[in-house]
This record gives sequence, C-alpha cells and structure tokens, in this order.
Amino acid sequence: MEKSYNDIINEHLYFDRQENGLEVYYVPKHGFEKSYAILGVDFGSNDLEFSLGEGKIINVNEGIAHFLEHKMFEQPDESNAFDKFSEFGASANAFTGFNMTAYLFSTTDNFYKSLDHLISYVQTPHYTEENVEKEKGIIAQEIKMYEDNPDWQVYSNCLKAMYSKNNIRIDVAGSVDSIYKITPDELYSCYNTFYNPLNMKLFIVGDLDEEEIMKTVKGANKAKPLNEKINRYNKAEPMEISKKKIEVRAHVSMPMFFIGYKDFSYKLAVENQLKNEIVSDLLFDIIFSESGDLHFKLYNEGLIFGNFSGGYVSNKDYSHVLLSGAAKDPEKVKFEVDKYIQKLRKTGIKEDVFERTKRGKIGGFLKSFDSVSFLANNFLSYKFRGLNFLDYLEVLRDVELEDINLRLEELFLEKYSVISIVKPMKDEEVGFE
Amino acid sequence: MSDLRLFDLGNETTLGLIKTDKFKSTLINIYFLRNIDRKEITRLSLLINLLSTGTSSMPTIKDVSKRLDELYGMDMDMNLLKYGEKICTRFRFFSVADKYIGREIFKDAVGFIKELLLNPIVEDDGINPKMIEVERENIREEIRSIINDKAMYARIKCIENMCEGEAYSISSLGYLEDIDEITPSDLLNTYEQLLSTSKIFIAVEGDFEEEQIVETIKSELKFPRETIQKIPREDFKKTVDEVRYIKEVVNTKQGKLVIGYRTNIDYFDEEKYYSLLVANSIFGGGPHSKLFRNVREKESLCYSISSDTEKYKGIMMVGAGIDPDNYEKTLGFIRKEFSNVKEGRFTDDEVKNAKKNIINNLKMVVDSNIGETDFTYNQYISGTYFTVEDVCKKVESVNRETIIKSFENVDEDTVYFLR
Repeated sequence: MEKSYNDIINEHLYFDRQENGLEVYYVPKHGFEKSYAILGVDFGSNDLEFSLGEGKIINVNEGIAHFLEHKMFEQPDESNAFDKFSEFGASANAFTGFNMTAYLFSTTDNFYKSLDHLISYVQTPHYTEENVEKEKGIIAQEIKMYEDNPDWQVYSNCLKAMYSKNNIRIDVAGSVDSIYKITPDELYSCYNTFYNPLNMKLFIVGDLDEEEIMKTVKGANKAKPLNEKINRYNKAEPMEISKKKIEVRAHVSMPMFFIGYKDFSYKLAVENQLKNEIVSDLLFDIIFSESGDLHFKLYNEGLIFGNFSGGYVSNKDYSHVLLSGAAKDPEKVKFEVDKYIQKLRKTGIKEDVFERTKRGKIGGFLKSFDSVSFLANNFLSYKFRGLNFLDYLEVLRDVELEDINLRLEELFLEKYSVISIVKPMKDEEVGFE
Repeated sequence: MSDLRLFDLGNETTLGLIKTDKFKSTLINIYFLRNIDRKEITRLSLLINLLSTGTSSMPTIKDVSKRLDELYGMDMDMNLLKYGEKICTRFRFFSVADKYIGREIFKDAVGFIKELLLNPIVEDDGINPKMIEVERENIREEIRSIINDKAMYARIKCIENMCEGEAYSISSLGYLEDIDEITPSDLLNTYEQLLSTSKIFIAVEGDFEEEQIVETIKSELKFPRETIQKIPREDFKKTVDEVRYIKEVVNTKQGKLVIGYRTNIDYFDEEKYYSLLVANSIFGGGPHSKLFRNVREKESLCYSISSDTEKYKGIMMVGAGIDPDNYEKTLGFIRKEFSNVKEGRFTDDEVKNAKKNIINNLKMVVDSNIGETDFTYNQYISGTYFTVEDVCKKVESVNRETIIKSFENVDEDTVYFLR
C-alpha cells in the first residue's frame, strides 16, 4: 500500500487501488481496541435516473437506494448478513444518504474475518419477490417513524422549499407509496449499475496490519469491474428557490424552524471546493456562534430558545446553508438574522473575531478525530467528491480575513433564502383511555 | 483498559486519572452525586443552566463563549443523569491535547472550570438574577418539548406510571409547576448544597504528567465541604400483583409501545446480574436478538425494537415503534419471546452471540474518553471498581442455567401505549 504521513494532524494514510477498481484506504490508530471498516458506494437517493454507456435511460422509484441497502443483508442461503457479524462479535450497520450508501462494522475481535464478510455480502445481491415484499412493511414503519419526528419534518420541508427540481427535495427513504412499487428487477438494475468496484471505496481504521488487510481484501474482492460509463441525470435546478415558506403543524411544544440559504458553489472546480467549504463553515460560526452579538441579542430578548444549529452543506450538485433552532416567532428570528447579515456586510468582519473563531475551529477539528466513525464517514464522502478530508486543517490554517469578507458577499443572500416551520397543534387534546 | 489511578482528596472527593495518548482531546469530568429529591430536582436543572450563562469574571454568555473559543474551541456540557434513585450533576469539558497546538493549555482549561464552578455571579444573595427569567423559560421549554420525541416521551410516561410513589419516577428534567416559585436565592442555596454535600468524583483523561495534574486539581478545584449526604441503596425488589395497562392518545403516525419489567436482581449478586445482562441481550439487545429477528425481521411489525436493563433500581424496558392497529399482535409476540427466554428456549449460538455482543461493546468503551470516564464512574458509584476486563470475564462465565435463573423473577409490570 502507498503510505503518506500528515504531520499537522499526526495521522498516517495507506492507499491501494485494486485491479478491479476498488480503492482501499487505511488509517492506523495504535492502542485502539476497536477497528472500523466502511464500504461506500457512490449511489444515493438522488440517483433516480441513469443510463449505462449508450444504453437506454432508466427511471427508478423514489427510495430505492435505501431499500437496496436494507435488502443487501439478505443472503442467497436465506440467512442474514447480520448473523455472521454476530458470530464474530462485530457490530454492523448501514446507512443511505443523498449521494452515498455505506455498509460498515466495528469490532474488537475477528476483524479480518468480518472484513472478508463485509466485502463478500455487499458483492452478493439476492432479491426475491418474497424478501422484497417483506421489507416493505419494515420500511413503511421506518418512514412513519420519521414522519412522527418533528425534527425530521422541519428539515425535510426546508429542502423542499429550496429545491424545485433537484432530487434532494425527495426523502431518502421515499414514501410508503413509492416503496410499495419496488420490484426485484428494479433493485438488480440499480445494483448492476452502481455496485461495481470502480464506484466503491473502502475505508479502514484501527490498530491493524496493512499486509493482512490487503490479503483479506484481495481474497474477498471478486467483483468484476463495469467498464461502461455511468451517466446520472438530475434535472437542472434553477437558481430561484421553490417556496419562500413551508409551515406545518405537529405535536411540538414550541415552533421549530430551519432556515435555508441556497448556494451555487457546487459548480466550483474541485480544487477550490475544500477551501470554499472551510471558509463557509468559518463564516457560519462567526455569525451564529454563542460568542457573537446576534445570538446574544436573540437569546436575551427571549427570541430564540437555546442555540442555533446547522452549517454549510455541499456535494456534487447542491450546496446550501442550514440554520435551525426553536423560537416562538421563527419569522421574526429570520428577519433579525437577515438584518444582522446585511449590517455585517457594511461593517465587515473584524480581525479579532476571525482569529478567535478560527482557533476554535482548529481545536474542534482536531478533537473530531477522536471519533473513529466521524473520521471514516467523512473521509469517504469527501473522497467521493474528489477531496481529501485530512487536508482540512492545513487549508483552514491558511484562510485569511479577506476570504471571509469576500464570501460574505455571496453567501446568505436573502433572495435565495427560505424558512420551514413546524408549529404546535391548534388545540392539543391529550386523552387517557 | 488505559491506566487508571485513584486519589482520595478527602471529604468524599475522589480524583480518577486515566493516562493515555490515544486521543487528540483531554477530557475533564466533574460528577456531583446526590439522592434524587422531588423538591430539589427542578432547582438543580435550573441551576446548571444558569451557571453556564456567566461567572464573575465572564459575566455574559458571550464572554464565556469567547473564552471557550480562545481555548481552542473547548467544549463544555452539563447534564443531570439518573443512576437509579441517585441524581448525578455532571460537568464535562473537552480541551485539545497540548501537543497538537504546541502550547500548554491544560492549566488554562482548569482555570476556566474553576471560574465556572467556584465563581458564579452572586447578586442580592442570589445566583445571576438578571438571567433567571430567560433560563426559567428555557427550562419550561425543555420540559414541554419532551413530547417532540415520541419514543422518549412514551418511555418516560411508562416509568412515571410504573414507579408512581417511588423516587425512581422523578424526572431528571424537573417539573413545570415548580419553575415560577424558584428564586435566585433558592438557587444559591442549591448551589451551596451541591458543592458542599454531594459526593464528588473528578475524572481526567489524556496525556499528562500525573503529579502535575494532581497538584493543579488539588490547588484549583477546592470545593467547600460540609456533612456529605448518605446515599442508601435503592429498593430493587418489587412483587408485581397485576400488570397495568395505560393508553394515551395524541394521534401519532406510529404507535409507541413500551413495557416496563421488574428484575428483582441485586447487582452485587454477580452471577445473577451478569446472567441478566446476557439474558436481556438474547431477548432484545441488538440485531442478534429474538425481538429483532422475530418481531421485526420475521413478522415485519416494526423498524425499531429493543430491550435494556437498569442496574440500580432493577428495571428492564422494551420499546417498539409499531402500526397502532398491531398493538395486540405485537404485545403477543413480545410476550412469546419473553417466555422463550424465561423457559430456556434459546440456542447455544444465541448465548454465544449475546456474550460476544456485550463483550465487543464493553471493549469499545476504552476507545473513547467519554466511554472510559463514564464506565469508571459507574464502577465507582456501584462500589465495585471492576475494569473492563473484569466485567468481560464475568459475562463470559455465565451459562444456560444461570441465564434462565436470572429471568426467574423478572416480571412484567406496566404496558404503556402511545398512539
């Protein structure tokens, strides 16, 4: 494996590309009991229309990437992939996002056996009429669980408010209606297109032996590469937002909100993406952190309950800022936020605020490395975008005040902003039977 | 497990040092342990919120936050945690390890903690009167917003009903009806009691010179001490005469079913207690469990379903998210699996997998400084002082007979359904 060392964060990185295209990354963590492996596929809920090479365009049902993730655990011998992990004493899981599906496990014992199993089961699809039907009931309950969750609703509606064409406005799990239409053929179609080694990356963290890792990978990694190009179609998204406001009622005690600011830097060349993201992150912290004037004013006036949450989000074909919180009058909060940002553009951000925030971000980034899963999940998703997560600190150190003030001119534009609100029910009746 | 050294600082104050160079952060936890008390709980909740809004030398949230930024993004959080019928006020601080920023920051971090805990704003004989109205509103909202997480709400309501009249039913968030009556002066009283009569445990985990740390902590964090509270053991035995059924309607999209059980097990009875942990794991402790494999995978009745145990009060809980129309059916299946465990209808593989799952999770504790310090603290308040290796051995040693025996007196107490 190729080895490199990042002295700023004191981490080594090993890399290998297999013959069939699978990329393998390994970060050693000496003294750690647990080892973690995550196998990512460049396929997410946004991928609803695609073609292979010169082939015809295929449209699939909403929620299929997530459905496929659930079905991956079924094995041809009618067992479940969890069974072997349980036998090895490993904890396994999987998740689907807008752009990536990932299969992972963590264990303190039998790592290489578990790694072999991970690669094998993900390379072994097995979808039947029966097992697909059965999953519909389970996923329907998962969807309903999210629908009952106001945190999920307010976030989901914010994306719907910003985007009119981009598939990000569609829930990752789809809807109960859409998943009931899914068939084994459709699943195979997606699997055969996207689940090929050229479209997958493996990331490993732990106190391991790189030769043993490679031996295990070579032994399990039997899939054939797909030599045709994958074409993904996502309808062109206009700059304009879809709806200025989406408001619903739910069983919450105080209104919750998500404010979104649409952004267009996803169009930037890859080499500028990381710095743009870091500058945007810093800018967010400067404006919304508890050490700033905005939060101080809103908190003391009782306009906001607790802190703001959120940050800058960016991927292949979308980028935006999300700002969330709870408030009695969310629209008033948005008004104050926009007013504050307008003022900030006139006065500019001061050097001392910038330096202090930057320092906080450096410490925060360093500490995040203590979470193996945070490191692994982020590394993978940045890699699929063509970026190296480990470069973050180096790029952060070089950011200057000028970069921040320039970015302030194009981010947080009121014209491209939306608000999603979840309000309490009009008359809440709670009864006992 | 990393090197743990305990130092008795006198007056029921203990310092635990865990030395390791595995992490990029240094963690400092301060735990204050008391008996949970209905009259005190809301005050504690309000107090910790108020303490974070300012100190004598950092009078506003802005000042406190700025200082945290200056300390390279130091994080802090404060929580009230229930351990049986004991309430722990935990203050956690995460600092970056000195070697990653090329300067010594530990002493400054402790200085911040000293300021926060030992130098609150006291005006007119009360804690930070200027901010009390804002924080009263925040606590009100925190309590009201429990309903936002239906699964959590259902669990809390089940316990509240199951343990009515017992101290275990007291909610760690506090009570709405108490809030308006609490004055800044009451809070000053609570603050003084917290520091002077609680059992204190300070845990520090990171890469440091032991002597230096002990000196710094001893000299900077001197808490004023008086007669320390006696903390008796909980009453963990309860005979259930009849199962109680409670239904609540709030018109959710998904029903939340919660079942509370009494285990009647003394955690000092090691064979029984560790057997119970394995029995619970077989029952509903993960994707290897009966509840997951049968009620979810086989019957497709739910997405989330699991069981868990509580050590000090002797309680076991099952939670499941289901279609409201499947209440009777799901209850039936859960009861079937419960009796399968009770009557020994589980395979050797199920026992093996359950043990592996528990041991794997235990071993992973040492890979996080949060995990390690909380584990250490749990052992300290149990009075057992086991290491992770010790516990793994005890789990490994249980067998079919002891597992069945441990479930003998586990009884269903209350079934709660939110729809």
